[in-house]
Amino acid sequence: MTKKLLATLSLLLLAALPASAVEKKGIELKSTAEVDIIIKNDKGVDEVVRVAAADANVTPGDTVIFTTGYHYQGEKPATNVVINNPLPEHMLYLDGTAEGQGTRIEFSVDKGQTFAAADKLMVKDAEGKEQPASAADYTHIRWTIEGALQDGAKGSVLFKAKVK
Amino acid sequence: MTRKIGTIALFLALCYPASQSAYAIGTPSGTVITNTATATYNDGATPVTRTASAPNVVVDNKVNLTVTKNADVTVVPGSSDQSLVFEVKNDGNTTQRYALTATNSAGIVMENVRIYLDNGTNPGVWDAGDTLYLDAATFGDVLADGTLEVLIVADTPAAANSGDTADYQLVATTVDAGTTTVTTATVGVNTAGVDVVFADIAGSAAGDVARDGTHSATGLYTVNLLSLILNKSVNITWDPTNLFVTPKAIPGAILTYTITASVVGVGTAANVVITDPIPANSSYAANSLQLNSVALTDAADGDVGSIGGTPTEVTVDLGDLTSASPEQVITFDVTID
Repeated sequence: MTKKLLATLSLLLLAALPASAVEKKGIELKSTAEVDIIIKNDKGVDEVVRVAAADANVTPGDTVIFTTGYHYQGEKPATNVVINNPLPEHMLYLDGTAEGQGTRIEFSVDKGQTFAAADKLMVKDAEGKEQPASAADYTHIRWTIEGALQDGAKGSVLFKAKVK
Repeated sequence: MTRKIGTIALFLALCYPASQSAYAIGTPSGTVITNTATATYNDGATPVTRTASAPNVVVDNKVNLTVTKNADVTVVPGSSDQSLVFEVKNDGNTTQRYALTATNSAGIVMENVRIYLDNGTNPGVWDAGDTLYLDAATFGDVLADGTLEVLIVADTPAAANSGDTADYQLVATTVDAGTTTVTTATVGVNTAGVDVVFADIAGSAAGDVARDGTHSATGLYTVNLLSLILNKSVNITWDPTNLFVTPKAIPGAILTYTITASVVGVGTAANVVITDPIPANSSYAANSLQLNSVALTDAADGDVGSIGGTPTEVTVDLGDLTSASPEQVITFDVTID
């Protein structure tokens, strides 16, 4: 009886153990929306503090910082890692604010069909003539992570945009 | 089906700029902003897609308004329904109402002070079609970016003196749309819903500080015992083709200009001289100058009228006038070159 139970248990454990050891989560993403607010510190001096946008007033003209954090857990390195972020509706991307260490940052002006570096993007004006694109034309931001992500690699990318 | 989706997408693309311009003042309060990032990568041979959304951001109510004074007014003692002209503009991102007050901040006190919504029939002038303000509900809701054209209307005391002035403040306070409840800013911790943030600048009225949901501007009544009222009109009298029957303003046609002068108020306007240059591309018709239907010679001589100077000017010396003086009517003719 006991022997049989033990055998069953160990069998269960054996079956469970390799599974949990192999079980890797892949890339976990976490996205936040924050704003910088000015508060008076203990000494009565103005200090900029970054808080969750949900905990602050957000009205037209305010700047929101959107951050996407990634954490990779996997046996094999993750390759061709791309983070793609359509610009939220009602928001205007603030030129030069996209950041991401070890990433190549590109933008799209055609709803994500094609991407290029900021200085290479063109848009057509009212007369159909090609003009350099401005931040107001961007529809998507894309971060391409250079090299492969090893197990346990972490990082984040961010951009700032203004409420129209 | 595919074709239908294509059409819808095109329609949306065409609509996009239009819907943007509708929010010239900013994203409406209550708008939910969502942000979703997508990561794609290869795990060995398998392509993987992961997405993450940031917590929603709710756009709050940015209460902002501007009161602008568009015109002051000069009044005579005892005159009624004299208007100071203002505009109240909703610079926020939410439909609001406005509670209005007219307060005397300096100078003499006017009588029968009221606030009207100008219907625009006679812009800047009170008339019977304008709406008398009772409370914030009278003028109704004002959309974001919308305006109210407002008049402070008052009577000048009969005992006012020349040189007296009266400062009147139009003070507009933000009220919740559809109600007569004054809007209050959300105090303390930000809520998940739409919070109210005051963003207005300080106004001219005492105590109207920045970010109080109120704005104000000053209008000025100036009492002037005497005002000279001038009017000028023109008629086509004759042309070389139609003669006196429905004449047209063609070369050679004769135009008759009429200038009327009268004085309102108390006292005497001394040595009133009217001068009027002859318009370009026309010439004074000799011996056509008249005052009150009596001919005046063109020469600077014994009578009060003369023609001269470069460019040619009509000059009539009306002497001293009072409100009791009859209206003075000057006429002269010109010929179109």
